[in-house]
Amino acid sequence: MNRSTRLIVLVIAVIALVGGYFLFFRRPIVAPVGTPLTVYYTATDGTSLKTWTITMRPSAPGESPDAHQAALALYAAVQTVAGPPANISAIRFPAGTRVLGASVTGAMATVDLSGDVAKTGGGSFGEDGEFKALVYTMTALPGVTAVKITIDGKSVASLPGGHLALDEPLHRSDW
Amino acid sequence: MNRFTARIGSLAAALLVLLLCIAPAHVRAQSQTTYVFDAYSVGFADFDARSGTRALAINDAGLAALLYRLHATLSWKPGARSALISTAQPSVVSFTAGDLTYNSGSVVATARVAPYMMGSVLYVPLDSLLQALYLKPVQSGAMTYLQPQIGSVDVQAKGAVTRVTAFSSVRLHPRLLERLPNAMAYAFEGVGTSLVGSQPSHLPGLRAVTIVQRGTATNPVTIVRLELSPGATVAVPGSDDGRDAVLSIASADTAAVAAVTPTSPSNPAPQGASISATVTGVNAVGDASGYSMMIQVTGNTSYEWHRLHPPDNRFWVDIRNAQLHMAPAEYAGGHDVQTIRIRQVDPQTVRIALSLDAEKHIDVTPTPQGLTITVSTQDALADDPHAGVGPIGNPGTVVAMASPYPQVAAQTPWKFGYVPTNPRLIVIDPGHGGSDRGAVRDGVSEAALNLDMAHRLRDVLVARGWQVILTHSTDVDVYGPDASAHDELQARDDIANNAGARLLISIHSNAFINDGPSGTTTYYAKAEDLALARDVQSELAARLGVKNDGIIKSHFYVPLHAKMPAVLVETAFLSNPSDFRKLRDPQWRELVAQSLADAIAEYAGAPPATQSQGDTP
Repeated sequence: MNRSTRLIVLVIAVIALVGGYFLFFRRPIVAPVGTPLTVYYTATDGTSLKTWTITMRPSAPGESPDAHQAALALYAAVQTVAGPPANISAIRFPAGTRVLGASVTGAMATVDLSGDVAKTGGGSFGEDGEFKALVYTMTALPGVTAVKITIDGKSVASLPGGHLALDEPLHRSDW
Repeated sequence: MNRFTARIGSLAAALLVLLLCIAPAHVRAQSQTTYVFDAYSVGFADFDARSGTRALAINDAGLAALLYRLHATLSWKPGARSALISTAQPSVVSFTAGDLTYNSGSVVATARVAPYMMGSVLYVPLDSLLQALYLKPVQSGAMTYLQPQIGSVDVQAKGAVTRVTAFSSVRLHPRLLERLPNAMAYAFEGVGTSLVGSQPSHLPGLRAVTIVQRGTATNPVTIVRLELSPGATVAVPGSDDGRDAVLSIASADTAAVAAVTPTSPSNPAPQGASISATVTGVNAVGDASGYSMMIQVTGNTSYEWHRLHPPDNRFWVDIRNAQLHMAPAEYAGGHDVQTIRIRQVDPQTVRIALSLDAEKHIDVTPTPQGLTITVSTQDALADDPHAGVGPIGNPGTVVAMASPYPQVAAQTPWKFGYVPTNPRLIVIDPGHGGSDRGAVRDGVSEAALNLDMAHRLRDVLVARGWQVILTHSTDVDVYGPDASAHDELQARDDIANNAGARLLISIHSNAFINDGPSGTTTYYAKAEDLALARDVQSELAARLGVKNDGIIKSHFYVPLHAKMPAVLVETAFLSNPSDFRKLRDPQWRELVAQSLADAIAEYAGAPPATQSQGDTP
C-alpha cells in the first residue's frame, strides 16, 4: 500500500469517526407537539367534574399505533389515579393505588388497578367519585367509549365491600 | 499481499478503530453506585453510560427501593417505551424513549440525553430522574447523599388570603425561625433547594418571598422569609396533604373584616360578592319537537352558555351573580338529553349542564320568567355557534315550586316493563353486614347502623300493611362469610328479584377519608329508579336535619341489578362529626325509618288491600 492509499484510508476512517459521532450523539431529536388530553377529577361535592389538561406525547419512532394507544391509555389512567395537585380539593383514589396496566381494544379501554383501590373507607361517596373521574378521562381518549376495570388483573363484580358494579364496562352515561 | 488486499485490510482496520471508539459508550457499567437517602443506603446497579450521562434501568432494584421510601409508584412493564412514576405529591413523572422532554407534574423539562431502550428495558438519565423526584446528589466526604429538595414554591391569592405553598418529595416541617412586625421566617430542616433568591409580590399581605439555603449536605436547612404588608398576619403553617407546607397570609383588611363579620359556612359568598338573581326552579318538558327546560330566575343578571365539540356533546349555561334557591340536582333527561345537572359551581354562578347523546341544535332564549333551553331533535348545523351570552331581566317575579326538584312532564313517560308478582312486598337491604363491616368509626360500624335502621323501617312498613323482607335480619353475610363481591351483592338482588317485590331500598351510611363531606344522598342506577329516588330524597332532605346532597345517578350494583325500582340511600356520613352524632342517636334513626316509609307511601301509595296483613321473615 503506497502513501496516497494510506492517506485515503485514513481520511475515510476520520470521516467515519466524525460521522459516527454526530450520528450517535449529535442527532437532533425533535420533540413534536403532542395531543392535549383532558384529565378529570371529581370535586368534593361528590358530583361535579373538574378538569386539567395534559399533553400526550406523539408517537415514538418505531412505535406501533396499538402500542402508542396503549401508552396513552396508561398515561391517562396514571394521571387520573394520581389526581390533581395536592392543594386542590378533590375526591382521590386511596393512597397506594397503582395502575398496573392499561390497554385499548376497539372502543374499550381496560384499566388494571392494584387492590389498594379497595381501601376506600367504606363509603359510596369516594368510590363513586373516583371511578366517575377515571371513566370520563379514559373515554376522552380518541375512539374510546367504554372502560373495563380489573383489579390485580382479575375481573370483579365490585370492590370488596364496595358498591359500584364493575362486572361490565363502564360508560359516561352510567353517571 | 497485493495492493487490493492491502486496501481491504486498511479499510477493515479503520472500521475496527471506529467500532472501538464508539463501543465503550454503549457498554453497560455494572458497577454499583451507592447513595444515601434518609439514612438508608440506596444502590443503583444497572447503569448504562452514554455521552457522559449515566442512565439507569427503570427496573433497577435500587430505584424500586428509593421509590418505596418516597411513597412513589412506578407504572412500567418490560418492553414499554414509556415509564410513569406517580409521586406522593401527587404528580406524575413521565419518560419516553427517544424523547428529550419529560414531564414532571405540570412542568415540561428537557433532559440532556433522551431515554432509550436497550433490549426490553427503558433507560432513563439519572440526573433528570432525580431532579423530577426533587432529589439532588450532594457529595460529602466519601458518600453521596440524595438530598431532598423543595422543588417548587407556589404563591397564590385565594380571595384576600395569600398562600405560599412549598412542595417537596418528603414531609415538610416548617419551624418558626424569626418573628418581626413586618416579616416572618420559617426553617425547613432536612431539605435543600435550588430556588434560592428573592421574589417581590403584589398579592394581599405579602411584599416579597426570600429563599436561602443553609446547613450541610447531610443536614440542609432551607429558610423561607416572608416580607409582610403592615398589619398582615401569618397563620400556623398547615398542609394540604402532609407533604407540602402552606403558609397562609391574611392582609390587615381581611383581619379587620373577619373580626367584625364572622362568616357563615352556609353562606360561602365572599366579601364584595354581588348577588342580583336567584334560580328558583327548573321544569323540563319533552315532546316530539325536542326537550325544553325552563329555568326560573328572579332578578336581573346575565347568562353565558358553551357547548363542546363532538364527540364530547356537553352543553352548559352559567347564570352569573346568582344563587341556587333549590336543591342541587342531577337526573336523567329525556329524548337526546342523557343527564341534567344543576349546581352552584361557585358563590356567584349557577350552572345547568346537559350531557347529550349527539350534537343537537340548541336554542337558548331569555323569557320573562328566566331562560329557556330547547334541545331540538334535529342535528346541529355546521355553523351553529358554540357559545353565547345574553341578559336576564325579570325583577320582582317569584315563581313558586311545588317541589324542590325539577319536574319532568307527563309527556315523557317512563318505559318500564316490570310487573311485581307480589305488589305488597318491599325488600329492605341493610348495607354490608357479617364479615363486611362497611365504614367504622369509634367502634361503631356502618353495618350495625344500617341493620338498626332497616329493622325500624320494617316495623313501620309492616304496621302500615306492607309485607317486608330484609336481605338479612341479623348481622350476617347474605351469601356467606368472605364471599366474593359478586356473590354477596347478587344474593341481595336475588332475594328481591325472586320474590317479585314492589321495590328495593338499600340502606347505607356514607364515609370519606376526611370529615369534610356531609349530608344525605339517594343513589339510583336505572331510569325506572328515578321517581323513587326523588321521593326518598325529598322526604329525607326535608326531615333529617342534615345537608341535602341530592339524588345521584351512579352504577351501583344493587340498584342496577334489581329488576324493580331500587335505590341506595346514604343516610349521613360517619366520617363527619355532626352527621355521626345524628347516626348514633336512636331517635334520629327512627326518623330515618319514618321518612323512608313516608317516601314509599308517596311513591307507591297504600299497600294493596286485597291480601292479608304482611309479616316479616
